[in-house]
Amino acid sequence: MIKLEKDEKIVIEVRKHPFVFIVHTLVSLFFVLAPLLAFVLIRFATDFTITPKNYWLLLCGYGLWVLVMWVIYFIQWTDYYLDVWYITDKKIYDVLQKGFFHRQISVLRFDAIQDVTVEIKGVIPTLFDFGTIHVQTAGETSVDFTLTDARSPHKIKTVISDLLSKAKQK
Amino acid sequence: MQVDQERALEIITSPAVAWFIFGLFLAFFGVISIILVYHWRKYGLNNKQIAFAELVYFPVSFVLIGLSAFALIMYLTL
Repeated sequence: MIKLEKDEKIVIEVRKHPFVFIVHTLVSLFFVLAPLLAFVLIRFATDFTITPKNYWLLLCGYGLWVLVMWVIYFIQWTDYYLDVWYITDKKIYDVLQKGFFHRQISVLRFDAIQDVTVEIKGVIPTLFDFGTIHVQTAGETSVDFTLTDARSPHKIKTVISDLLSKAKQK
Repeated sequence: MQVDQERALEIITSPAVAWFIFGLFLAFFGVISIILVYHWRKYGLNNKQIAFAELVYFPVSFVLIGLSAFALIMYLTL
């Protein structure tokens, strides 16, 4: 969990574009519908019959299958949602969530920022406005910040540049 | 012919085994849900979307669990 200074305020939260997560959603939807499609195919393509009693067992199994898919979907969503940049009026916090038990938080002060670049590559990123934001730091030992598939990268760059100017004026 | 198919599909005959398997799924759901809620509350910074996720996740899960339990009861009583 990030700890802000007393007079520090979050200006913007930057996440990957929802398009990235739509792919996960479609995959999950496929796994939810696949058993139903398989059942319909088997039912109509063969003379296979099922007793009413066994329908209940199939329904129970399918309900549990959908429950597992539902839980996995939320695990993926949590992973997506908690992977975030918090841009405050003083710093940038890069929170990297890799699965449940790997969380890395890096902090970058505005006075250490040297350059901000944006890269939008490909048709879909151009259409949906997402791309890579790269924040370069001044020191040789410091680590650069990179967020891939970020939503509205040019807008984020403008926000960082404005905050950077304000920090330099102070 | 139909009787053979009925027998072939009767995979679970013991209620104890059926409920044990059901319990395993519930345990999986319980453990993952605790971890999810821990992450949402600790790292979510009281975000509205996190609250919405919680609002959607649990009711749908309980409907699915209820539906499965009902179907299992019907299977075992018929």
